[in-house]
Amino acid sequence: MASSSKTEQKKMLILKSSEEEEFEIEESIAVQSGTIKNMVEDDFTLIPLPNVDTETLIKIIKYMKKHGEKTKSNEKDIEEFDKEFVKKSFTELKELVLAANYLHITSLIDLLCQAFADRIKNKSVKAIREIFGIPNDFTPEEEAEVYEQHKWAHEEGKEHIDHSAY
Amino acid sequence: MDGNNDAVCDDRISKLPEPILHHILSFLHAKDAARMSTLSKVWDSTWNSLPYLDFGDIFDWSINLNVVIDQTLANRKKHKSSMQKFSLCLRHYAGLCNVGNWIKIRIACNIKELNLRVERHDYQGNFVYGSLPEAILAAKSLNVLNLFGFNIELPAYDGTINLSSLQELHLSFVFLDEQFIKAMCTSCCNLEHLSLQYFNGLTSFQVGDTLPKLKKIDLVTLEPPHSVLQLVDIAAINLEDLWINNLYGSTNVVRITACKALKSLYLRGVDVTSNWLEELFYSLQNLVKFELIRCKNQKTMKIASDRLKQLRVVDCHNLISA
Repeated sequence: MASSSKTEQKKMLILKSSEEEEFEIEESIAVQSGTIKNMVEDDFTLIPLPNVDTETLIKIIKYMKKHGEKTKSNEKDIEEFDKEFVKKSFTELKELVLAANYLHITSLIDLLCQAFADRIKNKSVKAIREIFGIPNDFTPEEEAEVYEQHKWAHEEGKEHIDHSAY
Repeated sequence: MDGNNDAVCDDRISKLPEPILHHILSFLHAKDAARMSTLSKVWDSTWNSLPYLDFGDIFDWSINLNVVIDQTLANRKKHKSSMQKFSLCLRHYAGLCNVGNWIKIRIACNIKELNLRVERHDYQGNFVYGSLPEAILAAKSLNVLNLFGFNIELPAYDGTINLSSLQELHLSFVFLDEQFIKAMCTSCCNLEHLSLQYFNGLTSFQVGDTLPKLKKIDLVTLEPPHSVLQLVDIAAINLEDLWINNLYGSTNVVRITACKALKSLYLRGVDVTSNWLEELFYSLQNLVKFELIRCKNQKTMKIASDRLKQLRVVDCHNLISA
């Protein structure tokens, strides 16, 4: 790394949402996104993100800012932030995971997928169907066949299967 | 957002791209993930093509694991999906006899990562090592292998192993000997990271220059009366990171001056001398981080290096000046 004085001006980028709103952000924080990092390497300073709407972009910037200041001492603090961050509606989470995927922010993709998985864990099929609103497109025969194939998964072992849809 | 009042379009999760659905399922135990297949055709296909299988800690299962895994694998073979990663943890591994077969099937599917853990105790409560299915040592597509609780023996028929794609090998609570290390040095030419923790049986650890990609080695020993590591002799020319951790006991002989690329060295419970240190800093021109913990027998120690950026010396009795 070239030697630089500590008072060097931090390089800023502008991220533009699909609704054409612009947000300024430090480059060092924005490059947590693999996609943005690539564009920076191609000398972009104005980064258009046509796949990310304003509301989602604001949340993502908040996430990157928090994770950009990660040090050994504030790990607990960031854990708390992550916990709160995923307390959102499914629609919001879905938009976030699509945006995180597009932006290649691995830690955020993991966080969001884990959040989805946590809502599926130990839940019965009926409960998951209700929570996520997944329609059944099997014929009764097909459904019976698929159920048979995975009978072991439906049998309640010592773990408790939750039938409630919270 | 497309405006719709149709219940079908309310399905927020199934419309995500398959790689993301796979990623979500990868955080789930196989049982939860398999249940998803009865939800809709999309989920059935997602489960069947899921390249990861985590049967987790199946101590709680009251069903026949052999049947389950046979079925799951047969299904995958039918759908021709490749299996990337398989994790299995068995507390009471009575059913392990079938694991050999499963491994063979998975190897046929070019599995890349395998995590197997067994924890078995005899009637007195002592830890007992499980016997490792031989097929694992011939899984030439494996990149990552994690084994916990096994007795690692070379195959009886020819004593060789074929893990030529292996990049990472993590062995914990295992029993192994010098023969295995030797065979590993011959076969695992792509090995980058080797981790041996809480091992038993090995009293000397020797790695020559046959592993050109080896960058990191971690050794953590058990307490006596388990085997004590007496000799460490490493000549891996691209090794950057070496960690020797004797929680109790100590290693007498450590020869690492051939590891010219070494940047970071952690020694705990290694009895070094002033001369040894001098030779170390002279030979290892790239060393920038050095930690020395619990070293007896030294009254004076000179640690001088103009390249060293981080130095930590802890709990060295009898040390008068450094």
